[in-house]
Order: sequence, then structure tokens, then C-alpha cells
Amino acid sequence: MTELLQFTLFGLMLGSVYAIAAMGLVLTYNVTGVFNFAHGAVGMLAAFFYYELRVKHGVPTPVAVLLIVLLGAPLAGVGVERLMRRFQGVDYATSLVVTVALTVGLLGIALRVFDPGQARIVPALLGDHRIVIASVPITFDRIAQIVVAVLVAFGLRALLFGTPLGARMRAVVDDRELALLSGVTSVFVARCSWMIGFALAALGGVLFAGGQNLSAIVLTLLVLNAYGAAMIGRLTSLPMTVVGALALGLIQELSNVSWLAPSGEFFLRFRLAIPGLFLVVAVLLVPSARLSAGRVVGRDEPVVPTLRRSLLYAAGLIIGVAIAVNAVSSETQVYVVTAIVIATVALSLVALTGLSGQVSLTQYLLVGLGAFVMGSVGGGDSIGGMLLGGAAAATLAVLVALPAVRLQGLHLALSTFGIALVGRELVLGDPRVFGLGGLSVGRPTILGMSTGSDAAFAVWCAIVFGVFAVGIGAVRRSGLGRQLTAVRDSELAAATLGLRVRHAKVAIFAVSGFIAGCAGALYGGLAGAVQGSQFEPVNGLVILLFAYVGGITSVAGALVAGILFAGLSYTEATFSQLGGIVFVAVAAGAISLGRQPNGLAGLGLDVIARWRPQLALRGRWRAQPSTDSALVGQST
Amino acid sequence: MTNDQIRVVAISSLSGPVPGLSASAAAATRAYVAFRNATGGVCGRAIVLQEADDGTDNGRYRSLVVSLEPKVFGIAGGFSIGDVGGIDVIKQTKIPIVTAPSASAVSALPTVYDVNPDYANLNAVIGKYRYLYDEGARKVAVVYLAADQSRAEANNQMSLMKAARLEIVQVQELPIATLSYDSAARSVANSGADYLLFIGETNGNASMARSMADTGYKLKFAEYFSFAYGTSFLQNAGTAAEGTSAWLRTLPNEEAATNEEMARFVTWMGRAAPGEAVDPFAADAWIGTKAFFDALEALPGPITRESFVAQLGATKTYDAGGMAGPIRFGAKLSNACVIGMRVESGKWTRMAPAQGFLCA
Repeated sequence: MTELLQFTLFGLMLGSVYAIAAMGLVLTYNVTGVFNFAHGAVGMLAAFFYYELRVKHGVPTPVAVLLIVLLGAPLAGVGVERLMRRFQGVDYATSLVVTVALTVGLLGIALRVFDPGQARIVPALLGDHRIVIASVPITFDRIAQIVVAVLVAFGLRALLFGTPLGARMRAVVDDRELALLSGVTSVFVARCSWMIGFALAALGGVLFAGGQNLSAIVLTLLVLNAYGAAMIGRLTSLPMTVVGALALGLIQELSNVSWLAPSGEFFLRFRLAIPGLFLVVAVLLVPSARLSAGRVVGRDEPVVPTLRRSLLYAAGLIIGVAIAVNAVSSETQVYVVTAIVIATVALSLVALTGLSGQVSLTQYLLVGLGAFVMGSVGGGDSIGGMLLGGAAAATLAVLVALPAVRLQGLHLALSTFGIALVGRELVLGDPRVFGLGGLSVGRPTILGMSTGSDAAFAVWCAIVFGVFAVGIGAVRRSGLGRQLTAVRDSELAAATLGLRVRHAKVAIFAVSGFIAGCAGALYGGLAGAVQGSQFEPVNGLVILLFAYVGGITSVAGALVAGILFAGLSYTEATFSQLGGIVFVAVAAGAISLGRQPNGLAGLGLDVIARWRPQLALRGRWRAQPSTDSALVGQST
Repeated sequence: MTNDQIRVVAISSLSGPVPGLSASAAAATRAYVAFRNATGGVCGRAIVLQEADDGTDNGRYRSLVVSLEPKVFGIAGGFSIGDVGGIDVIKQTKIPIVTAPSASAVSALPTVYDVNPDYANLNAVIGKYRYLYDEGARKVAVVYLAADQSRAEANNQMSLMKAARLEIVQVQELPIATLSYDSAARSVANSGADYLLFIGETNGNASMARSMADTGYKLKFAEYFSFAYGTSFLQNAGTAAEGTSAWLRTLPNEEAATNEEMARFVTWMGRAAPGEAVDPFAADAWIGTKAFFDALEALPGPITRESFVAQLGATKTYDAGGMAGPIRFGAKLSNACVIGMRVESGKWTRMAPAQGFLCA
């Protein structure tokens, strides 16, 4: 029983950490409609600044905490609110990508400003005082954490239900348009929400960091576990969010109780998968928010090229890559390969998100599966291995889609993220999959020609990319493509018109999965050997970010994403002193292009169309009039 | 290679997710080459060292091998996490490599020689665990971070422990994003273990040591994997480091005065890479570079890659001038030679054996 009590205490402490993080997420989402992926990064940066003030400059603890939590963080919140105002009304995927960009940017700043090699132990906020219960020493900091979680829960409830500001916030949550008509200034409400959200993130960061050695990555990733708690509260209910957070903390810690938990190698990894499983279960079992009736339709988007033109573009790309890869030094050729491989991964996202508007965050798991199959079949270097990898990934994508297909928007994204977290621990983390030293993956021989050299492999990758690009064009021109466009514009309207929405969604998951699996096979060939750690779900988020910057709606966008990724890798390798700045540059690019769904590719083609109007007239780029747009409804 | 120059490359993981991961290994290779050039080079030739960064990326390592292979004689020292990506091209080009590879699959390649080779038999009793058993250790808790390398190391160590009749009473994998080690430490205490093996990164080592100290539970041995030594572990763990131990494959820096090579290593690290950590990564890279050029100098005939690899293979035992425990270099097997260090009064002091190394 003592053991049970001990881990219950640990569970409550961990749960209170999750509760503080999750409440900040819920509050911001409720009022602004933005699921702030950057919440953890804000807390992380606050903890680093707190350390600087407290340890480096000797500022007393209460003053340092107040400066960070009540001044610095809210001010940053104001700045972010101004930034996010630009994205009012955009689809959830864009706002999600913008906050992912914010995360990457803040991480870049942290890595740049605070040398990761230097230890930073944050002194306990309330000194080394502690009480001991059941042999568990509980520092006053940990007690404060629990108390703060409870106070924040009650405080936010009092704010929402007992103050004029709270009433305005609830009005905006209930019906933004109606609230506006009633004279509620949504900007003010949103600003307050961001300020409170950031203050909570900072408070969490400072509280969690007390007595710990600061790590930018650990603090940023910690909040990922809190997503499940936020979903238990349906992203709306603060009390249920706290319940979810405590439940998650307790489940995680009670799995350490020797007589409760099974033993064995599988369970070692299963324990690590608990937050991911919790998230999946929370999203799937908790009733989803009401269906979105529609969204802003009629965005500028690329016209689908004819088959002939697609083939010409693909041939041009292959020839271009062949010329480019032979024009650069042998040391640089790997970056050309990287560009095409990442472009192929991004192409799988174009198929899914660009065509159908669905956001799946399992994509990197599928890439990993493709690499695994490629390395395990036919000597590790066969085209058959690549196709089987694609088929395996397509199958897994369908399995992911089947339970998730009834979901949409953020719920779909979060459930697939949970699946990716589970996959990381139970599949990729299994030593039998990639082996303890990594799995060798080769490069195929095609018609007697080896693709062993980077130059030859780049051309092979370009051929694969070209085939998929032509294939995506074909899907776009097909009936399935038109159904997907309808689903993307309004799922409810599409269903009302009698379209088989679920079939279309599952089909595009399969297509996208197949491309991702084949991209994984190419990735394996690029890397030579693969390990589970290369397919972290967070890496998948970064690729999604690049796909958005390049342009998620077009094949050209995928290509730009690949080139950008490889270019930044090259810059980072060549100018190591620019390490953190590269992150910040990507983030800034993503944020500034956030309202431009066609990304850099779209901008480039716009410029060309301006210089050469006849190209636009010939219909290569279609700018639909804004009057086509119709806000039919809004998702919450 | 010309009549007055020999060009080699050291590939390290300097950028990527953990910037500067192998900075000490890169610095040690640079330091060794500086020392060797200052004392006349090798075979009458000056050593030209090219340093390369694999970005902790398998593909980039592979590409570096492809592009640099025609320009250099071989790969010496450094420490790369991405080396598994180069397996096929190393096999193809037969480029000689002497380093501490990140995986057994790399060290198994015919032209790769490993200064930290695999154990000859994972089911045999080795000196370290015999010592710990004799000193009263019976029940072991093994805790490690959920990363490929930690898992591999933990599996090896658990096999060796079992062979020495040590009972593994608890195994824990911790997520990379572990904020507090308190519950992991409590689980160790509850397990009744008298010996803890913790395999984590530098900061994690210190955090776990502090959490263990907080439990008040007394372990006979609290081992933090060798990365604890030579890094900021003592500073970060503070008083919680007291009594903890680490096992090294080389002489400790504190004994530099007792061995010429060790003294040289510490001195030249200070000269060529001031401020860089003199840690186990650096020691391995120094030994790898030294082994490379020692074998080159020992070549009886003309210097070719084939003859050089044959020379490496013919080297039966190697101990880097007594700086490291002897390994079966040509056979690529370890003798499991180690020195146990324990923190006493805030300093690393030799725990076992009284002198020399504990071997299998």
C-alpha cells in the first residue's frame, strides 16, 4: 500500500504539471480557436529567462517570477496576438502550422542564446524545504505546483463566470459573429486570452524548472503529454481538463507500482506510450465537437495541368536534377538527394492536406515503416522493397484512417499525433524493428545501372518523385479529386450532396500513405541505415511546416519544401555558427507565408504571372475572385 | 598521400539535434595530430587533418565518405553518430578507419578497427562484475533513456550482469523528455536493489543522482555510465554525486602523471583545444588517432591501404601506451578492461583495482 501511496503522490505532482499546461492550451483555444503547439516552447523560454534573472543577475525569486509571469509573458502574448490576428478565419491547419513555426522559432532562439552544452540548474523557488509522506520527499515547489494548478483552475473559472471580461470571452467562444454584433471587441478579448495563456505557460515553465537542469527540448516536448488532458476536457471544460491531467499523471505513475504493472520488455515501452494512447483514446472516445459546416472556400489554387503537361514537367524535373546534381561538388550532391527525398515526403502531404484538407501527423511513422520494409525485403536495395514499403505504409494509413476518419480538423490532427507517439514507442522503439545498431538500407540497381552514387540516386529519386507528381495530377483530374475538393471545402456540404466522404478520405489516406512509404524507402537509401529515432513524430511536424512554406497545395510547393529543407541543412552544416538562426528563419518564413496557402511556390508563380501575364491567361494559375468565398459556418 | 604529407579525415557529429555532441572527440583528434606533427609527423610525413561534420546524419556521413575517400588515406579518430549510414560505401571503397564506431555493424566491417570493441562473450563473467559481486552487490536496477544507443548498452550490460550471478530486479526505460527523475529513483529504492546502473546523457546523470539522494536510499554502488566522468556531472549533481561511481576504459585524468601517454593527452588537449572537455569521448578519439598512426609507422613495407589494413589486423593487443586497458585490436574484441572510479569528497578517486585495470 505504501508503494501505491508513493506513486499516487508522484501521479498527482505530474498531473498538476499537465494541468497547468493543459489549462493554458484550453483557454487560448477556446477564445481564439488556435491550438497553441508553441505552449511548451513559451514555458521553456520563460524558464530560461527566469534562470538568467535569478541566477545570473541575482534578482530575488518573487521579483523574477513576477517579471517573467506577469510582465514578460503577457507582453509576448500581446505580440503573438497581433501576429495571429493576421490568421483570423484561416483553416485550423494553417493556424496549427503557424504555432508549430512559433515553436521552431522559439527553440531556435533558445539554442542560439543559451548554449545547450552549459548546465543550468534552476534553484528551487521555495528553497530546499520539504515534507516526507510515505518516504516520498515532496519539496515545497511541488506542493506549490499542485496548489497553483488548483488555484488556476478556480481562478480561470472565476474569471470566465464572474467578470465582465469572462462574459465577453464566453460570448466570443459561443458565437464570434454574434458577439461582434453585440459590441464585444474580439481583439481585446483575444489579446487578454493570449496574455493569460502565455502567463500560464510561463508560470508552468518556471514551476516545472525549479530544482531541475534546464533543457530546451525536454521542456518544450513535455507539454505534448498534456494534449490528452486537454482533449478530455473537449478543449472547452477547465474542470474536465484538470481531471484529465490528474488521470494521465496517475496512470503514468501508477504503472510503476510493481504489483500493478506487468513486467517484460514490451511493457517497458508500453509505459512510454501511455501519453500517446491517452491522447488517442481521449480524441476517439470523447464526443467530438460539432461538425464543421463549412469553411472559407475559393482560395487561389493551382490549376491542374493536363496529363501531357504533367509528363513534360516531370521529364523537365528529371533532366534538371540530372544536370544540377552533376554541376555541384561531390560533397554537395547529398543535399540534392535530400531535397528530392524530402520533397517526396512533402508530396505525400500535398496529396493528403493539399487535396483533401485532412491533416495527419502520422506521416513520419509511415516514412519510417517504408524505410523498414525497404531495408528488410529483397536484400534491402530492390524496387520491390520500395513498392512493398509503400503498400505497407498505405495499409497502415488506412488503419489509422478508419477510426480517425469520422474526425476532422484539429481532432483528426491530434488523434493521428497520438497514434504517431504510440508508434514511436511500440513500433519504432522496438529493437527488433531497426535493430540496436540500425537497419541498413540500400539503393536499387535499375536496368543494370547502379544508383549507388549520390548523382545517380538523385536522378532515381527525381524519377520516383516525377511519377508520383504525375499520379497526383491524375487523381486531381479524376472523380476522386473532385470529391476531395468538395470534402476539403465543406465536409458537411459534400455529405449532403451524397458524396461518399468517408470513402474518399480513406482513399486519399491510402494514396498519401503509399507515397510516404516509398519516400521512406528513398530516405533509407539516402541515409544508408535507419534507426527508430530518425522518425520522431516531431520531425513530421517540421516537415509539415516546410510543406506549408513551400506550398501545401501543389507539386511545385513540395519541391520547394524539399529544396528549402536541403538548403537550410547545407547552411547549417557549412556555417555551424548559424545553427539557431536557421530555425528562426524557417519559423519567420512560415509565419509570413501563413496566409499564403500556396506558399513560396505560389508566390513564385504569381511573380512569373505578373511578368508574363500570358502564362496566367493560359490558366496555369487560377486566382478565384474573393466573392466566391463563403463563410458557411465555423468549426470549434 | 605524397612523399611529405599524409592526409586523413576525422568525421564527428558537431551539428544536428545536439550541437557539439562530439566536439571533445574532434578536439582530441586535432590535439593528437598537433602533437604528432610537432614531434616529426609519421613516416617522415606531415599529417594533414581534414575535419568533417556529419550533422548527426547518416546520409551526410555516407556522402562524406564518398566524396573524401579519394582525397584521404583513411579516417582516424573523431566520433560520429551517423557512421552506420556509411556501411555500404565503406565496404565498397575499403577505406581504412580507426575510431570508436557507434554501432557493432560498423566495427564488423573488414577495414574498420574499433578502439572500443565488442565484448568477446556476453555470457562470460567479466572483472568488473566479479568485483562488484565480491563487494556485496547482488540486486541490480538498470535505468536508461529510451534511445537506441542506451538500449543497446543496457542490453549488453544486463547479459554480463546475469553471467556474474547479479540479479536484475528492476529495468526502467525513461522517456527522453523526462523532467523529474524522482519516481524513477523511488522505483529503484522500492526494488531493493543494491546496485544501480544508470545510462543517460550528462544532465540526466546529475538529475538522477540528485533524485536518488533525495530518496535517502543507500545503494552499495550507484554507477552512472562513463559519460558522468570528465563532464559537468560533479558540478551539477553537487553533494548527490558523493559515493557514485563510473567505470572507465582508460586511465583517469587524475593519474596523468603516472603514464606518459595520458600526460600527453591531457597536456595536448589543453594546448590544442583549451576549454574542451577531457572526457571519455576525447580519450577514445585520441586513442583511435594514435592507433591509426602507430600502425602506419609499424608498416614494414610500402604504404598502401591494403598493407595498412593488414597491419591493423595483425595488431594483436593494443593499449595506447598503457593509457587504455588492453584490447584485442586485430580481432576487434574487448578484454573488458576497466577502472572503477568513485566520487569521494567531491573528487573522482580510484575505487578498483588498486592499480592497472580490472580485466575479464
